[in-house]
Amino acid sequence: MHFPFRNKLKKPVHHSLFNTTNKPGNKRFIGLIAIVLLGITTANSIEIPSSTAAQHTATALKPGGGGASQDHFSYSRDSHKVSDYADASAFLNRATFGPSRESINELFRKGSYESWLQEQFSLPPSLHMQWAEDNIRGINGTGDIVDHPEDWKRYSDTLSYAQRDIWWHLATQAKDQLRQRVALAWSEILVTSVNNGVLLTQPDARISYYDLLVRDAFGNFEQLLHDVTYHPTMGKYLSYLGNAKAGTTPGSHPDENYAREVMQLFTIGLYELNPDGSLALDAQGNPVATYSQEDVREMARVFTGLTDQNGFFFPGDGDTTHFARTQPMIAMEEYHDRGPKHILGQDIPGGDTGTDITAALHILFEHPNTGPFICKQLIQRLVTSNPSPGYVARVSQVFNNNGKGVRGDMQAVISAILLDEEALHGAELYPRRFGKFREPLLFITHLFRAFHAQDAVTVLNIYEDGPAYTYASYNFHGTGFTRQEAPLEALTVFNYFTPFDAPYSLKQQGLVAPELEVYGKQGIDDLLMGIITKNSFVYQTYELAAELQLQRETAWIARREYDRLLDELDLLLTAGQLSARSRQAIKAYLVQQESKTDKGISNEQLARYVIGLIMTSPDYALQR
Amino acid sequence: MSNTNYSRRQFLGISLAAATLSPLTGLARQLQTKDSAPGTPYKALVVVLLEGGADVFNMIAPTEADRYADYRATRENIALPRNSLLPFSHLNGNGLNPDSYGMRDNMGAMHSLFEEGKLAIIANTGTLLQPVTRSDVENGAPVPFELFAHNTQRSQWMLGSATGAEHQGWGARIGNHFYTEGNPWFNVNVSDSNNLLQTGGAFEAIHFDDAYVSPDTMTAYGFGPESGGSELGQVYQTLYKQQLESRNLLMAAFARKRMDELLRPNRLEGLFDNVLNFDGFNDGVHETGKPLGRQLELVAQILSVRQEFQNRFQTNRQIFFVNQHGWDTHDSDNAHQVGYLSDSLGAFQHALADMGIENQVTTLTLSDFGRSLTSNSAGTDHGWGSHAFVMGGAVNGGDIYGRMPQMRNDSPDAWSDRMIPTTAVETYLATAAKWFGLSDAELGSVFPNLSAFPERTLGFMA
Repeated sequence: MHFPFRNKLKKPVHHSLFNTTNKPGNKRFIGLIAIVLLGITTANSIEIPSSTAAQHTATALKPGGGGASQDHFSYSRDSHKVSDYADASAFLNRATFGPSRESINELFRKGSYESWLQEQFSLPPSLHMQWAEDNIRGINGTGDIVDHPEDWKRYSDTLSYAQRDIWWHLATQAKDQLRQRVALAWSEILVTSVNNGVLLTQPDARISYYDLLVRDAFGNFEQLLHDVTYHPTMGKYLSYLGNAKAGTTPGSHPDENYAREVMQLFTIGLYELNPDGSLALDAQGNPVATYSQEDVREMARVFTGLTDQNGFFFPGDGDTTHFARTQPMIAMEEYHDRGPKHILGQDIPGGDTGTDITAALHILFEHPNTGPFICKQLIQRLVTSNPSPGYVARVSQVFNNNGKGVRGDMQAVISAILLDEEALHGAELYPRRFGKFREPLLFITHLFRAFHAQDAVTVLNIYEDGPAYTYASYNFHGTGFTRQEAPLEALTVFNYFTPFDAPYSLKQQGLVAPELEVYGKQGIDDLLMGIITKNSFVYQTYELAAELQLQRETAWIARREYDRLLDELDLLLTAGQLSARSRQAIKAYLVQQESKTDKGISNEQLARYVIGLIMTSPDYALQR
Repeated sequence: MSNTNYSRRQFLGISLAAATLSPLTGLARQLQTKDSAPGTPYKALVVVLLEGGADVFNMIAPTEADRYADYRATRENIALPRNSLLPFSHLNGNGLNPDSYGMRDNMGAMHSLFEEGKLAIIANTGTLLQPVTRSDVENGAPVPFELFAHNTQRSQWMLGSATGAEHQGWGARIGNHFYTEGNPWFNVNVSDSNNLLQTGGAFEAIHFDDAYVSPDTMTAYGFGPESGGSELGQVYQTLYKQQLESRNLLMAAFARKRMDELLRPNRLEGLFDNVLNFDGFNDGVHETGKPLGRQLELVAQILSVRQEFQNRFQTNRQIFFVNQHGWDTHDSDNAHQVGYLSDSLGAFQHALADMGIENQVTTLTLSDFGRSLTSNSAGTDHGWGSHAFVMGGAVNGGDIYGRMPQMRNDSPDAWSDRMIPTTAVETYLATAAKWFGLSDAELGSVFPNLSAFPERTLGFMA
């Protein structure tokens, strides 16, 4: 087994960490240390007056309401109409992989968020495996992948890069943007990952799982849960593929891995919740556990008997086939525990594998926690890290009943999330805590979409005389530039970040900022800036393509039309929310460059710097 | 991901060229240490998180025939073969562990350290609210909330408490005792995870990579004075500074965090001029995340310039956090993880010996939880109590501390097939913290629930 990606770098640069030489000092920074220390002191003293926090809760909008107001804001307008370009841009930040001028114009022309949603719901899914089969061509004697599906595993090192390329391509260019965006959100809730001994060598299994999320993104949550449960990729990731009833090996018990995580992470969570997502406390004010270890044991008995379609209950690595890796698991009943089970206070009489699993998943689907638990996380992934209880309650109510008596209708839920007053007007309603930090993947997709990054010919050939493939892509497969984040590459089933993550100072104020967990490990500005400014080190090291189209921006700089430039960038990138001071500082910089007789920077490079300044600024990082 | 690591190292490379830009002035003045701040000699704690819940029962196993038979009958297909174990003799100083044990056959390095008296085993330690027996648990005695869940149990280890009342990590709390205003270099996170252990002090724990990567590569892209981009760099910082007092609390927190990260590395000039390089560390094979060996190598390198840190930052004490992924072995044996841990710890202790600071650095392991005694056919599930390892010249090694449980499902130490901890997390950690310099009163403050347990410390350190 060879680790994929390891050998991709054509020009490995070996730097000794400490092999550095002294350079002249940078005195400019010194004075700022004091500012930082001051900032930290201030951090500890900032607090939300409890009255304000209470007010946030108290003024939360009632379900179905449209008339609630605060002093400075009211809903006199029809909140579902697209009233200006900036609102359109903000909406597309939540519902797509980033607005472009074209997508903003299109939404504005439509004039209605609802009709945009309806159109998105009706688009056929762009499936990643289909793209692979249509586009990945073998060269230098290697067969096309569509004709040689077993090469997915045989050449998994090489084709693991293709998995990334496909994701970047479709995230950026697929028409079914909302579906792809929601699939990413699902992949961060219903987590599987390359970081697993078996899945490491099965890029087709990972792609197939992602396609399941794409396909089911707008379906019913119970169907999604069912399909996830039967997918061999999840079966391998949480180790219940080949999970046998107790005593199959002397003294053994069923594997509890999926049994626990399907409750803790995929449906009901650890604690009993109110419909608004807050903790339902007992009489002593303590949280109440949703399930016990006994429930986990019983649930583990349910998930016995499944294996993939290789024909062996405990398939060896050599037994696996492309078909088995990408088709639902099947039951081998002799390994299933047919006894009655008692789960979360309910009885399952006990029967064959399929009957038991359907019954157990139905208990989870119907659990009152599932709506608020799942809906709050989807809100966090798409709109805001700290939704008001009212927002969660309104969406949960739609989860519980779409208005036609159907529970778990995800089209209705996604519409409720994106059309809620708090989503459309959160910046005005909750200026102190509205928004979410963009995760690194979304920085890059937005950059590509906003500036029409062009594909280039990709040649995958990581070994001399080894398998070789070609297709058109951004060639962004070989980089670690997203650091801790790439699709389906979390370190654990707890995702790159959890819904509860926050820097300590925010936690003290009762706020979370999950995506900052990714920023915390590694700064991402340097890499982002490297990509935007086309830094030769970054591009050459990783052989990146993704040529940005900056003719408009370059021309505006040449003509010194700075306001026009900044108007457009503000709309495209920060949805009209670039702060006045940021804008002023950037404009001053442009003017300053102008006065130099030999500035040594081309107009295009200046455009790149300006884009980079905006996209690495806090104004941009916090999507509002 | 390994390729992520690879590129990270590359970026570390280019970043360091510029990391040394600014002279370090002024900071020493601003760091205030209280009179009780620890003096010399230098001491460090290195905390190794075995992430995912380590199956320690496949690291240490009984060797005597009867005990082994129990172990074998309980673990069945995942039991280690008796004749493969590396037997060791322990002092049985506390009289609680008369039986003999052996280590897994690929733990040669840790076995040698144990025999040399530099490694101790802490038996069956875990999260507790109060001492409990099997019958206590069966009769509803209080036990920690959400046993067996990764995140909650790991959190309780990091907080040094299972009561739910603590929100700062014990590393951060120790720092607050030592340094009134905090010390940015007291808690150093070398892992690829953020961690609660070091969260909540006056300074967020420095993430060592962050310190290098961000600002200096920004310099390389034309955002620093060296490449003629100082004007750009000023605009860049302006965009952050102007949001420090943002009305949006998330925005303000982010701006503060990034400004801190951006500026901190500029305190590093010359700090690593005399850094040592070490042999013996490796990347392992198929490691998930940043390999433990690389992390420990980095800690050794920082320790090699500890005098510079002491001179500039008064860091006579430091806590380093490192982690190793891959221990959640539901469907596999953990041979690979065990061997790599042993080799990496061995290399680290060797590096400390080369620097002559074996007595000044103590390394301790902790994990989410132990694992089930019985097999699920392929691996094991989430458990509770687990053994831990403490390593260093100041450790009274070659012995087992606390009491080894009887490894049978029907043993009085088992709740079903999970081990009920016989030593609290608090007692284990307080022993190391006492050596680190905390007074008895401070131990009670850092580990508020310590008084619930009969023993405050275990005696594996002076």
